[in-house]
Amino acid sequence: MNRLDNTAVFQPNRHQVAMALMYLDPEKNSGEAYRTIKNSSNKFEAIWRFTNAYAINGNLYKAQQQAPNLISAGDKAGFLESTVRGFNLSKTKKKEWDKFKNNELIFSRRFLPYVNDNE
Amino acid sequence: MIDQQTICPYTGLRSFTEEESLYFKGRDLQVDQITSLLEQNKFLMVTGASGEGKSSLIYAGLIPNARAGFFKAKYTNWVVADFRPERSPVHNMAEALAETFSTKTSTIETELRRGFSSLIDLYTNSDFYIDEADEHWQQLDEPQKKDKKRKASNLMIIVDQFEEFFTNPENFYNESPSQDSQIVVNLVLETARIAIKRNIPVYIVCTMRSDYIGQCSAFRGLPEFIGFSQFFVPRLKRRDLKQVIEEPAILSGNRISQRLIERLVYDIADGVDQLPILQHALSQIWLAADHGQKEMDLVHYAMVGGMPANELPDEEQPEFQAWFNSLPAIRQKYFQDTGLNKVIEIHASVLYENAWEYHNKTYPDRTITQQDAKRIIALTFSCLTKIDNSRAVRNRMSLGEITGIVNSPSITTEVVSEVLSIYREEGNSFIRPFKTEDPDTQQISPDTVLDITHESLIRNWNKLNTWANQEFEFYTTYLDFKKQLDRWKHSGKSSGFLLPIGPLTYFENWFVKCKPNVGWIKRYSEIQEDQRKATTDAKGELAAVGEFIRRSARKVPITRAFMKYGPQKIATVVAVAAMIILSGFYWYDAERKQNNTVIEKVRSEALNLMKSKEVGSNTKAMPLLIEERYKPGSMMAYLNVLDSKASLSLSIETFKQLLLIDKKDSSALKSDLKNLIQSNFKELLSKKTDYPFLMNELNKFTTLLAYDNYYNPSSNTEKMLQELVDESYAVVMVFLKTKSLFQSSISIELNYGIQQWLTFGHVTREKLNSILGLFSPFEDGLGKAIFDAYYPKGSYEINGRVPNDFNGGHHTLASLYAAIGDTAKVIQCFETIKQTGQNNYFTGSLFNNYSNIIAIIYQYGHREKVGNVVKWLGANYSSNVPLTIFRNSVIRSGYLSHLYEVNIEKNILRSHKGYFSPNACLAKREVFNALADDYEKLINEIKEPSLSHYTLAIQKKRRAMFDNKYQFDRGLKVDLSKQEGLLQQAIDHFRLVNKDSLEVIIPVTLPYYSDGVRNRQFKRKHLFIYPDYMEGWFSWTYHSDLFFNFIDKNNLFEEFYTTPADLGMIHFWIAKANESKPFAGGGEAFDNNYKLSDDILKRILTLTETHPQGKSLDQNLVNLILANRAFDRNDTVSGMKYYNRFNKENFAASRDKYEYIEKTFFLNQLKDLCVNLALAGNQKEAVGLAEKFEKDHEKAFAYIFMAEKIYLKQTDPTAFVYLDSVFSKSKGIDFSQFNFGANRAIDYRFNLILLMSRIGAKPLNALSNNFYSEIIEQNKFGAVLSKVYGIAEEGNFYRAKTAIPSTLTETEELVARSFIVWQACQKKELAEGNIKWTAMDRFITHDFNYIFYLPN
Repeated sequence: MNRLDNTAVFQPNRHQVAMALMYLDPEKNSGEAYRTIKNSSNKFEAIWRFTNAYAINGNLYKAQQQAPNLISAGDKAGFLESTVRGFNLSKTKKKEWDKFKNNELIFSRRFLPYVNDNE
Repeated sequence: MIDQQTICPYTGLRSFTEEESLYFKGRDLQVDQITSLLEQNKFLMVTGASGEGKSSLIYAGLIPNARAGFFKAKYTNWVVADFRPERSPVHNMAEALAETFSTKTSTIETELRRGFSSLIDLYTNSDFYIDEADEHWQQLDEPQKKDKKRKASNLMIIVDQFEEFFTNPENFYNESPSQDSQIVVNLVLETARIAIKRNIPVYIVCTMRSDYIGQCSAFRGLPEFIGFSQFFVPRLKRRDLKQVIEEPAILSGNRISQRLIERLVYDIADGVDQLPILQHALSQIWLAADHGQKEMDLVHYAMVGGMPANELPDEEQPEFQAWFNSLPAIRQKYFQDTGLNKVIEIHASVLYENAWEYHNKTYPDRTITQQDAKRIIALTFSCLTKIDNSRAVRNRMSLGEITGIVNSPSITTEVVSEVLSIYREEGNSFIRPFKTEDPDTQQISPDTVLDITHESLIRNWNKLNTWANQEFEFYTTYLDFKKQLDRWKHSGKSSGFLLPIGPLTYFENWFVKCKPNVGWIKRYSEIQEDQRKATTDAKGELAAVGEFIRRSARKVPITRAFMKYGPQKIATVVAVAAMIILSGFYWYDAERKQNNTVIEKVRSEALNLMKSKEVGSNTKAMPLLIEERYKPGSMMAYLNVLDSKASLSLSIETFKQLLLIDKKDSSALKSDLKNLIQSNFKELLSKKTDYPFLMNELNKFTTLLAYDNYYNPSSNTEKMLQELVDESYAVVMVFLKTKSLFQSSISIELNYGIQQWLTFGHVTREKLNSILGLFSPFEDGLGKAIFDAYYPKGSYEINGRVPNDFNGGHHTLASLYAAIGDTAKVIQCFETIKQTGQNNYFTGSLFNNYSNIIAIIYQYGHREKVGNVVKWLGANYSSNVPLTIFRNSVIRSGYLSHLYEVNIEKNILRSHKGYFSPNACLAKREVFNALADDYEKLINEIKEPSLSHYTLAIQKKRRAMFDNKYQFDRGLKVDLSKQEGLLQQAIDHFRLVNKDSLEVIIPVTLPYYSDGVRNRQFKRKHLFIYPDYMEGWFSWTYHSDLFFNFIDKNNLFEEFYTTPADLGMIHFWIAKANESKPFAGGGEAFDNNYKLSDDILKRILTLTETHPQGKSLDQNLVNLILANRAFDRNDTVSGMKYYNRFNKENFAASRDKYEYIEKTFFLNQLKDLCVNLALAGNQKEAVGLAEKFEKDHEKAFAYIFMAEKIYLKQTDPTAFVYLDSVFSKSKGIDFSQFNFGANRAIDYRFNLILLMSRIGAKPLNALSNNFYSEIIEQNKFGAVLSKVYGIAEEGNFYRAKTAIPSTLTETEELVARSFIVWQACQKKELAEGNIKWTAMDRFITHDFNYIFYLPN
């Protein structure tokens, strides 16, 4: 059975969709984005992006609120880093940061996780 | 002529029998008195103090007196029916009468229950009675009358030990007699009344201890009868006592000195038990005087402990001293305190000390420890005694019941019977039934009721008295405890009714000392007719006792830890814990949230999650089974309402889950599922749509059915399998006919469908031609076009590790041609494979290759054509000599390979993917036999004799081992004689191999964990003497103990194992036998399940002592296993013995001897031993061993398990000390090393969270959360499960539910909820005392308990 027909297995495209929704408008799309990644086993990668999206949009409180309870110090650092980075992205105007900015989303924008349907 | 001197004229503790009346002396007057009373009243109650000889007076006085004609009655003959009420008075009375009237017991019992006059009717209608007024009598002629008169007899009914109507709870409960007791007493009284009224010669005699006389008023009419005719047995006068001592000796031809008689009469004290003490002492004196060969004298009296040696006359002193010095010290100490009333004490105690030696001498093949023997004796005697109204009395109990109370797996009824046998021997008759020369009395059955011979034993044997009093104390404490327990139960198990710390400690001490078990609880439970129900109730009660104590202890753990160890230690070890503790500790009681409501909510949420399409059927299967466990019948009900597609998928996954849990599952659930699946297939196939789905599901299910039929052979399964693979064929045909159905992944499924059909289906030439005609490019027509569509060049089927081009189509074609027997076309397929560069197909380790094709040729009866194929293979690939081809084919067809796992759990193996076709083994057994025969023929053609003999030796051994494994796997009868015959042939060939040739080193491939292999090199000799068979990726390295036993049986160790390296092969075998696999998924279901017995391991230990090179054999692994197994069956003595033999200081070499799987097993055994030592109370040793682990995380694992087991099993506060140790070890550990990859397996925090959640007090929960939060998000779900599992097990479903975070996927949410329901099932079963689904519990908890210490 093709992966798309079998929703019980990991659907990598959902991360991309949810992240896109959040970057577009976190306030409006948050509910749908979370619903989209509900059954994604590695959803924290996406949630970090959600934090980032809120931070880019200037809502640092909400950005921090995305971190779940009882998480490790390392994971917490990840959320903080995502918040700060998002905030910086929205602020930085200097040209020398353009290249960094362009590469920043490389894995979510340009390198897509295609999978072998035969597996 | 009887040698009179061998007869002991004294009876010991038992009463005199009728046959012994000759020796019954000193009661002449009383015999006359009771005779005349009975003549007159026809009823007599003989009372007297215990041990005054009431029974002897009747049996050896009254009855012989009557028979001798001194009793004036209607007839001269007497028939006597005597019985004791025991636990079933009506039955016992019926049995006694049945013997007298020569009728069936059951008939008499029915009669007796009919009415109170039935006994008189029985008598008057029998030949024993003549009714002279009867017409029939008057019509008889004289000879007939004479004949009748000769038979006529008076009837005497004796109710011995009448007090048993009051002492046995079956007869008298809550101060009122049972129905059966009333029947018997009424029968007796009514019989006496009618006998008196109608002057019928029926006489009733009862004997009873006088202290029960008051209780007789419980029976209506009885006190009147007692008042009317009672006889109180008086104490014997000194003159009579002298007669009692002297006359039996004289009459039996023995001799007794006057001074001994005088001394005995002098020593008899006033008080109870005068006569039993005297009789017992006399019987012992008789034995001491060489069985009466010598004159019984003072020296013999001293030898039995009746008098101190210094009071012996001078001339007897040397004899006594010589004898005394020969005694072991332990026996000598009993002579410090002597006296007539000490003879019983000394005698019984000596037997107590010697019972184990006596047992081990009598049963040298079943030895027992002294400790076990003493425990059995102590428990037996305390079972056979009870305190009734402050009086110690006898308590009859069956051997089976006693064994239940002893409650040790290794102590069976046979063992208990054998140990007790010494107390039943002639001369030691302390326990009934006695052992006599009759062989039937040697062994007793579980139903045999045991009884102490006389209560005087209880009063005069201090040990027994102590046991009885201690037992009584246990019982009274239990009554107290039960009151508290019942209050708690009635409150709905509210925590407000748990025990406070003071009473808790008191009752815990009771629990530890008394060790109540099901048998013990049953002993004191209310009497129930239904034994099964009584057992179930007792199990439930015991579970409740444990739960009550555990719950109570959980309420106060921190208080306790403080009380025992002080806050200092805890505070220094872990500041966080101390802080929380110091901030105040109280019990967070959320249990009031009502578990029942919560569980209903959790189930309904789980049911909703089951509906999600984003949760796979494979995930849903286990929750569905757990729901079935919670509510039987729910599984099928659920599956039946799903649409047939969903129902089919989930049913197949559930069926798979059942097999993974227990491959030998024989539940009705499995057959229900099979039938449902079959009918779903039928329905869906008839719709003729959705073929890709059907092909997939058919392949999945036929794979499972084949597995099921392999392990549980059944004609029904076989038939179903055949029908379904025929459907597979039909579906394959649809695909091949309809090119448009092609999709990229389907060809592989078609290949497998065809293989399944060829292996199990109805295959006809016509069908074969049809399919080949459809898609074979080697046939005329459109075949090539279809083949190119489904099997185009550049499309790959993964075949183990290697991808086969053309989607593996040529292998499928070759298989079909092989079935037809067209070997030319087979070769044509091979040519194509070769020409397209797929040389691996002929030389590499693939799942499927030419071996499968050869097996098909054999399966379809084209054996004679195989030569062409073999020739082609040999000609084209130099490594494929015919011998190799056949050897590989034999290995593949021996039994179901563990690699079959890949068909059931796709992608389970790390580096090998794709389907593996086990047609060689699964089609029919003849394939293996024919391949083996042909292989052996080829071996015989080898020119070099040594090589030929060696290859044959290995092949014969291989054949025997494979056959044995095949039969074991399938549960078939093992043909041992054939297998031993093969092994003998193997040995014969081996002996003909030239010595140099045996030294040649050859490479072998051994399977390892998962799909791993190891390439090792062995000397030929070692490969053969390895006590099993090894070599080949498709077979195991360990199968069974067949070869080892053969070597042992034929004493071949010394011949074949001469060097340490030779013995090393035995060690390697043991390591391989215990190569447990760390993960449950591929654990038991695909593991080797033949367990190496303790006997084999012990035999190996013996070898280390007896074999000249034995010392070289590393004993550590064996000692570890044996120690743990002994502890597991509560045999602490053996456990400690093997622990002491384990080299604790220098075991690293044993641990590191092999690779990581074997090492993991070793470390798990070490961890288990730490736990077992801690459980047995050897804390110092346990800690010492835990500290021997190399790394801190390994030590932490050991402490976690020690804490967990002693907390759960014994509620021992030492658990908190171990918990401290875990915290202490944690300080130095960098947990980030456990974050990724296989290292996650050694992150002990999952087990730690589980443990803390299981204990459950609030401070620990908070502490547990610290560990929980530090686990990274990718691994968090494991921690969630640990937490949910622990909290639910602790009993708080509400908190378990709230511990499930909202960030989980639906799959995870379902699994977490099903863990709560699983725990609810366990609790329910425990409360009902009906533990089921243990295989499921083992399956789920496997990964929590077996630690993968060294993930590769």
